[in-house]
Amino acid sequence: MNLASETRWEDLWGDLWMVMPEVWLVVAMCAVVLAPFIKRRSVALPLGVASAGLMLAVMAALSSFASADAMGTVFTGSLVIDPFSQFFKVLLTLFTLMILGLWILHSRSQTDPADAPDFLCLLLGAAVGMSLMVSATNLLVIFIATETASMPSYALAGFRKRRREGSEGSLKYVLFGSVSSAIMLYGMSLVYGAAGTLSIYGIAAQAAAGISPLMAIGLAAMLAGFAFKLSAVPMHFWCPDVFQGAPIEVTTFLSVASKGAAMCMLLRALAAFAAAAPANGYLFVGIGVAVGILGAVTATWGNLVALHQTNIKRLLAYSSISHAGYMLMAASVAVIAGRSWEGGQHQTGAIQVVVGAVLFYIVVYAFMNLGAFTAATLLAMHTGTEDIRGYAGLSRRSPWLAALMTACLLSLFGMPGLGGFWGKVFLMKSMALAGGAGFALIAVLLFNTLISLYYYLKPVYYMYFVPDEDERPAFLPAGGGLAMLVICVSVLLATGLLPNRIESLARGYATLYPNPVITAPPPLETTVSLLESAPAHD
Amino acid sequence: MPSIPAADPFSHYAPIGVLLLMAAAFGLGNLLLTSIIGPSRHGKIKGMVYESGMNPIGSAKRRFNVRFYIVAMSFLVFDVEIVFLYPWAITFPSLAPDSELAPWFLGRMLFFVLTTLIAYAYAWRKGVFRYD
Amino acid sequence: MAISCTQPWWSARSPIGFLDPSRERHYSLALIGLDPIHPLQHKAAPVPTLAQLMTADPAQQGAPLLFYACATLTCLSAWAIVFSQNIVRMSVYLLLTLMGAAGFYLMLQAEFLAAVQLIVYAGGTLILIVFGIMLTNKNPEMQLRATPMELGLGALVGVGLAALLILALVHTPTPGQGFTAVPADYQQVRAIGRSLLSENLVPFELAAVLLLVVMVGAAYMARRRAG
Repeated sequence: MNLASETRWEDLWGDLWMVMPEVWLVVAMCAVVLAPFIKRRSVALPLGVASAGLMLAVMAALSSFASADAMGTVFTGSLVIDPFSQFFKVLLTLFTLMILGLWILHSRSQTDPADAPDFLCLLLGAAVGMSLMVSATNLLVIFIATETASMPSYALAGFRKRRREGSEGSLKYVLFGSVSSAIMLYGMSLVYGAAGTLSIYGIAAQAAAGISPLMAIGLAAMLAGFAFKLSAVPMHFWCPDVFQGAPIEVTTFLSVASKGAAMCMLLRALAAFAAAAPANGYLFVGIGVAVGILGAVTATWGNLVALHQTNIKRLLAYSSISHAGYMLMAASVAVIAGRSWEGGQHQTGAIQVVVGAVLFYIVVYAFMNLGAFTAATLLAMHTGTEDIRGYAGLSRRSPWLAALMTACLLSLFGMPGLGGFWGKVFLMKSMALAGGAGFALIAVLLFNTLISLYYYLKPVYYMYFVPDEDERPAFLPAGGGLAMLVICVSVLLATGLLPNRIESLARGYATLYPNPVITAPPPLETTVSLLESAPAHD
Repeated sequence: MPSIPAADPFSHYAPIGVLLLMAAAFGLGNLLLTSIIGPSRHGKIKGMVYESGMNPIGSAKRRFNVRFYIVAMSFLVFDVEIVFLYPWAITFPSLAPDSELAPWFLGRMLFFVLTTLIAYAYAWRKGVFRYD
Repeated sequence: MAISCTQPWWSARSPIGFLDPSRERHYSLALIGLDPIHPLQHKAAPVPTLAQLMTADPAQQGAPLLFYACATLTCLSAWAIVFSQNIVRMSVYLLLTLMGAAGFYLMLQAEFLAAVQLIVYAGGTLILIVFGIMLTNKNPEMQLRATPMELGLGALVGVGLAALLILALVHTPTPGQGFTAVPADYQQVRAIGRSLLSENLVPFELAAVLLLVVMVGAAYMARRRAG
């Protein structure tokens, strides 16, 4: 208990200032819920409040880059504010703003005005959870932040209550989610029991002294919880059903923000472990190898199943599973290369390279997925089908939409010249740091990219080479959606054409808070005496 | 108060244990006694609803109305709230009267309570508690 | 450990004492063989006879009778949940399991946690589960049967997991620092309150946000029409 620093007022206010993005999100969330008291059945009011809150959060996150004082640990070390977390928060809040745009475009007309505050509150609540997931360094915060991100997601997935698939997906999501959070919590309890501390840095330091079997099981169970959020393979069954049944803006939000937050959380934990690794910690390499295998299996499985999909949302769901696999594979390198295999020398630079590569990938992935889902939304709105066979003849009916969607799909595949290509290149570059194991990972990644070419080209094939038998008329997609698509594709082009500049930018943001020096926790007696120093009044 | 070493921290629970035993014994004993000494006669009149009670219609095992779920849910939310309020209520008076921490501790709890109040107000506004 | 207390247990202050942080401690549930020792540290303790228990010096007796009672309750009722085919009965068995777990918390001197377990899980969550059953099932007495395949797979996973955990427990040295016995005048609830308001502030306030979101989400899902 850090009472000495707690009694200083500046610190207490300072801590609050450093988490301003979250504060704004929470304030906006509460205001959105209270909006019906001011104006009943108004959509504009809660929507305005939510957008204002998100913009303030973006600015708060951006302003923390202005001074070095705005970085560090807050709230007695349970949260870390570093360039990595703030960068993700900027991305997350901007992305959530775009999700709001997608909602206005697609669902606003179909939603009862009285339900709008509920949707916005749930969306903002999930965003609060996700942004805290990225800053969390404490098992308790990790768990509650994950739950805060998950609980609204369950409700959002079934937000269209009248749709049968929506309810089915939502139910599967809840059941899978609660089981996996139970497993994760169980693992956390074992890890806490074995390490005696909740801080991931403390756990990493304890693990460096030796990983007991109990801790190994606990870590494995925790990994299962992360795997659920990432929809990695043994825990991926919810993903296609939820993605298919949920309204498309929710699907996009879950596929990018939720996975990105889980990935960043995992990266922070892995980096903490890698930085604490002892000279000959082969068990640490074991952790990395476990994550790497998980990633390889996830990527391969996702791609193989995606081959058979004909529904565009299911196809993109399996594609997102495989992308999570790619990122997991790269993340494993943080631990494998974080300590060099033979020399016993720490390669702290390796962690930053890996984190930078994954961060770059998350950015690119966010935009290409947003683009692909926006295009699918527009198509569903205008053609009334989510089946890719319904895309026949689209190049004639709406050439712009077809071209933009093709760009997003090709970027997901990794076409040179688009952001997705460089994302994969940087992932491979970071994998190469891990030596032999890294080359195995690179081989898996290349093999998977080849498989994925088939199913990414399938919609393109229908759009360009299959004539429309019904001779349906041409259409002009909704302007807002088209604008969003153009934004996405131009980001992909920018990252595709200026990869080095953006990669060095991402690497700059990949600065993680260093592992603090672990001091032994005060024995219980001191805690008690601290407590007793306050006069008792009860 | 003499200082007593923590030889056995469970002695306090002895009355509870005895109470539990007594409760269980009373319940089970009554059941047992009724079956032993009670006369067992059944009849149409005896099976009737007592005095002005309503005659039961349909099965008792039917589906509940979903609004009970909301009631149970809000009960659980307040239940958890109390669990958090209790340690706060114990801790807060132990602060020195002029402690700088006191407004912080109060503010932190007020935020906690405020969110629940917001949830409650929201549910009220949405007519969740309206039965019609 | 020296025993200087001579008060008999019936002079204990009040049964509500278990929520009173400033209570004094007495020692006489030794009658029924209670032992605060962590079960992990209980390796070679001989199990005394009942007669020994009744007469032995409380400081020396080592039979965690309450431990065995709670373990039996928890395991049997957990077993019953799995093998029962009636979902309403399952929820009652779940209640017993949760109460057994509360007993464990009590033995580990986590009295507040034990009370919370009873209030929130046994009192709140279980009611919600029963409501859920009553809300969703046309017939709550529905029979749930597992196919032999499911049974076999479940048994395999269960036995494997149990074996793994037991192996891990046996091979893990008992942690020293994590499980120090608390001093007699340790004011548990106050310490919890302090920790929630200072070092664990983030999870605490985040829990408030979580409760709000959950309430909104649940109210949305359960509402029949917009209003």
